[in-house]
Amino acid sequence: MELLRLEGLSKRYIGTQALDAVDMTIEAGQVLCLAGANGSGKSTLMKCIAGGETPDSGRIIWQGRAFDRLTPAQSMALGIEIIYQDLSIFTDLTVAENIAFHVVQSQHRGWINWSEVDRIAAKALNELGADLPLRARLGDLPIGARQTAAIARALTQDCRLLVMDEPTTALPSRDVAQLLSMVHRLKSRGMAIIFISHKLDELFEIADRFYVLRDGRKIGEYAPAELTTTRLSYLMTGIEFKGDKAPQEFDRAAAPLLVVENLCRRDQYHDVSFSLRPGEIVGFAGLTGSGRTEIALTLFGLNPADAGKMTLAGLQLRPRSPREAIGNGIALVSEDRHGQGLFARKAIMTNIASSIFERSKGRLGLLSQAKERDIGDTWIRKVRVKTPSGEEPVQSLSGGNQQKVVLAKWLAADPKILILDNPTAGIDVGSKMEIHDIVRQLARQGRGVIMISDDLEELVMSCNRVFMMQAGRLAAEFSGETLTVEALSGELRQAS
Amino acid sequence: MMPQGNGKTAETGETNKTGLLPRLLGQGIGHQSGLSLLAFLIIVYVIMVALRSPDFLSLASLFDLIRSGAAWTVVALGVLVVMVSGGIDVSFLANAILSAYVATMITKWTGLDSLVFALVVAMALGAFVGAINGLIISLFSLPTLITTLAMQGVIQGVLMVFLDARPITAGNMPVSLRYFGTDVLFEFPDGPGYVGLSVFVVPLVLAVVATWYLLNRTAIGRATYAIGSNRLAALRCGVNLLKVNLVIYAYAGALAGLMGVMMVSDIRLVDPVTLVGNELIVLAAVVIGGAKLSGGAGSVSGVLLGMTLVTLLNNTLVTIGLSASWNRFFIGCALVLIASISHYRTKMRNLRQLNFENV
Amino acid sequence: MDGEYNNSSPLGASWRRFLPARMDEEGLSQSVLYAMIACVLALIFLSLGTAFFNPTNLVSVLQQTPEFALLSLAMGLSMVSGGIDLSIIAVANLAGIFAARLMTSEPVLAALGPDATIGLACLVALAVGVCAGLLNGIIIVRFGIPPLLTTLGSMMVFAGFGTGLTGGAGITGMPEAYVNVVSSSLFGVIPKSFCLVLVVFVVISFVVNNSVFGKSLYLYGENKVAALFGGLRLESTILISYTVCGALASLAGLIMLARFNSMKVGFGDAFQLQAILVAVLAGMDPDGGRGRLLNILPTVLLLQCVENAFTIASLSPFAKKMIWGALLLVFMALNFFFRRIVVRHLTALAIRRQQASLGVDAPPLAR
Repeated sequence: MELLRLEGLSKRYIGTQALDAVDMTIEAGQVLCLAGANGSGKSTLMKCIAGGETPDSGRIIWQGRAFDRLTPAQSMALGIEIIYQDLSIFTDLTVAENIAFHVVQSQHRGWINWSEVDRIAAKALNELGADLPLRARLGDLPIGARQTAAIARALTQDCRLLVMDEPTTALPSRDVAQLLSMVHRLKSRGMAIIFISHKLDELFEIADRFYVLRDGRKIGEYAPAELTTTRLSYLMTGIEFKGDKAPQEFDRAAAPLLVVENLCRRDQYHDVSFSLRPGEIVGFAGLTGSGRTEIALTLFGLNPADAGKMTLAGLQLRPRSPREAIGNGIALVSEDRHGQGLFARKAIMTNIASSIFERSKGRLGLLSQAKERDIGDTWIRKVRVKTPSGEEPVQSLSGGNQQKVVLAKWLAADPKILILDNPTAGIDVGSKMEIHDIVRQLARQGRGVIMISDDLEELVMSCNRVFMMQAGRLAAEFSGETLTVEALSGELRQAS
Repeated sequence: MMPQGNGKTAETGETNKTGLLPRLLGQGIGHQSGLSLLAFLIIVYVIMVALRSPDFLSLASLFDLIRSGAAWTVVALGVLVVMVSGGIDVSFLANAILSAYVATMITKWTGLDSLVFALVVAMALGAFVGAINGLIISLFSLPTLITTLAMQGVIQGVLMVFLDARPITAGNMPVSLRYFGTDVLFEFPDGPGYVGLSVFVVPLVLAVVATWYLLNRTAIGRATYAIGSNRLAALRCGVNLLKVNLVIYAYAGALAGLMGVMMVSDIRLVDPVTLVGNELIVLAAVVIGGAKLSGGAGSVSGVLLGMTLVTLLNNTLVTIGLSASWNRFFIGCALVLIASISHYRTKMRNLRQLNFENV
Repeated sequence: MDGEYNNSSPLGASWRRFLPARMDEEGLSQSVLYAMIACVLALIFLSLGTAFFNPTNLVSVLQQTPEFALLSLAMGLSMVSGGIDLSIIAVANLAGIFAARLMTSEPVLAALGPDATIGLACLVALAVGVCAGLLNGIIIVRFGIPPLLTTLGSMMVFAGFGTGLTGGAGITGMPEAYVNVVSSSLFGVIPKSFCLVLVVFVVISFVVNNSVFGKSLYLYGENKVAALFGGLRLESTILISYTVCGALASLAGLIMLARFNSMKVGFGDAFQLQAILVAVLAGMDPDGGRGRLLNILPTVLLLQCVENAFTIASLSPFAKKMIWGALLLVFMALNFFFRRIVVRHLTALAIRRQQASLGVDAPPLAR
């Protein structure tokens, strides 16, 4: 039985055409896996279904009823529930109230029966086989508990279609298996499920059908039998990955640029040791929350370690702020480009020059517009940002070009060590290749590069060595012959 | 400084599950511990005052405190509701005096000299003006502080220019209002005379109960917390922002109308230029009581405690040998102190969770 | 590769020439501001004519502007970083009270003579302002309290301190020489106090536009997390900005003291709303990161003209307050619509560019 059909859905944002005339159908009791690289429009598509976004054009047809757009309330009334990537929970409210939020909001009795709220919450948690303290403030619980609460919330309604947007990303590995078995149970009750993930293994475990999206366009629909991980990843990225590496030669005898010894931080990572030589690209793979980003932030002065030693070019390193880290020659391109990397409404040249304001100021500590433009133009040329002028605001650029601006900003600062956290997340294939080129060039200039990525192919293509992180520890190291996508994904599967 | 241990223990919950509940209870007191600190401050202050003048600890001064704090507490409850949603209203006192003035005039004009009628008119008008606030803020998604600041000017202008308001003296005020200001619920013999509990306690209790009910027992009240806590999530959950804003700003307006009538009855003078200018003290009291300017937190009991401290300072600074003109200084100090503690803890906890929002 | 924009959208290039070079919100709200100034001046001219537009009256407009301009500049400066400074009036009062105390103190006058006393009093007042601003900045930076809450509290502390010191009474009777400073003029036309304001505006807006401090301040207002990750000097930047706010406020306090020949807590309370109004009208974004400080001066002058016109038309102060409020609401609502237009424009622009770049780079779709 057909539940939902989308016809020609389109949506634009500043910077991207997020959806381009997308069609889709889903039937009751079916698990549809929506596969696509970051930024392919998966989240936008789901938001349009859930009423979080208004499509520019196209129709949404729910059991024969056609809508131009849905409001969140409408969509919930129809029986569509979505679990957003950011969970959309209320940290100031209790667990029970978060779970029973829809029930509380939709009751018309004029008063709220709190014991009933507790009962509903307990029932939903029970269905999930989870146990949370109902009266605790959700903001005081760890991320896994918040995720559980968000899923439980979706189950409190008479849900016909459940959309899960990257539900496993932040989940500790033992909970992932539980989640997947939950999906099976819900499906057997006739619920339709759209499951979004970029972890391909998970997808094969539960999918009835694959739907591939790339750059906002539908690439096609496939049965699981037609596909392999390699084929799927080709469809998602448009790049045929032949297992080739671009071996980056570097001087293995050179003194290490950075040595990290027995670094610890409670609840985040333990006993981490590695070294980085000039010209080397070291990769970090692993799940979110495994400690990758946490270590990067420690090196960058934002997350002080409890114990251990860091040595940069022979000198003790203990940055207490990004400012100090940058002063020591460490730069970080963080994953959250919009939140942490860019000043969206400011000019491109200002963004680029911001990292070297102090170095480029003239007499009296003044920094002229002309100087700023100079710096901006130079780097716009070097990293090939596509823009008519350096005075355009960064938000007018596409995702890939925005990321190039972030890179340019750090290259201008001439760092010794560049840390990249998911540098190509959410950007188009063309820019992705260009960014890889830039990174390799940087290594060739004798800089050390640390690359954290969810994209295993990216790691295999660019890195000399890759560490697999697991629950805060360096679980395995791959290099040379052992560094293959298969080996990495095998290890990653073991982790979860 | 408050123990940061609280903030740290929460994170360890990620790896071990045992003893989760006790630790959570410790966490849950976050808001409560602010209130205990406040209660502690109040008790210390009361002891200080009592040491200076022992007869302060009497029913008479308690009743006096209630009487002088009642109207302000009523309006502070409205401010609380708005603040829980993450907004700030600074137009409420202008609204209060407008409502009170119009209610007085209509009562006089129609000859319906009844307190209930005056209250209904004042609260209806207050609610209407409040609803305008809510409407403008939601329609154009404007910053609430600046919008209500502008509205304050507009309301005062309407009162002074279009209604051409003139002070109404006690002799010209409706009899019912004059009685409202002096009536007592019951009296006790006290020394030579009597002390009575002002009838103001009735609207005060009603407002407290109504606000508590609105915030804790209704869908709109919970939606208010939700909006203050995470606006985007609230919208995604189908919360109707316009509706909630209309209700809460109208509710705050209605309480302002009620407060206006109480104030003019109390001072037995309808002076259109009074009240306005004291908004910030009310805001301070609400924040001292644990409400967050960013929304999502705040409670009726907090407002009661905050208002108690402010009223105490207003009434009794003279007793401890300082002129009453120092009261704002101490209220400000209390505000900065309490806000520093709670925000510093949040900041440290967020840093630990790698959230750099309020650095 | 750079060349592709020359031919990517010939249509776009032709109509874009008629718009401001960069169609962004800043430019737009500036255009709206200047259009408004023109309209209002025309309106005043039509209704009042030479009763307003005569040299004596225009000079008196300049004479009334200084403290208002300084307070608005302070408010605007605090908005650059996404903050707000509600304590400026209280700081102005407090600084004025300190100066007034000194200048009316017989022993000091006897010991130092009038000129040195005036100098000392001014220095003390400025020091009060600097300390007050520094205190605001420290609380904001160290404890992470939002500026709105910090300055709400500190405003009560400063005003309360001033009230406590004076018992709420005014201090009057400044030395003649001091009062004359404000009323005297350069070349007999331009009031000296206005010249001072002019200099302050030019210096501050030049520094903010061209120094590392100013640029960091704007970037902090735009996105403070990115500013942190970008390694900008945040703490000192915020400290300096609030300190300057305090200093400007104390300067305004000194001018107020000279004008009224008296000072007490509560003087100039009306400036609170007006300073916010001016800052927002001048295009300062209350969320931070945008707006040009120099625009504040013409806006202040405009409002002072309107104020003056109101006085000539003998409107009550409440009528003025109402008009200010209404003006602020209308302006913000207008900006709301303009912002939509700008976003739509930017979206369309970006799409055109992306399509152009996709055509070059993207491999053909599968199937």
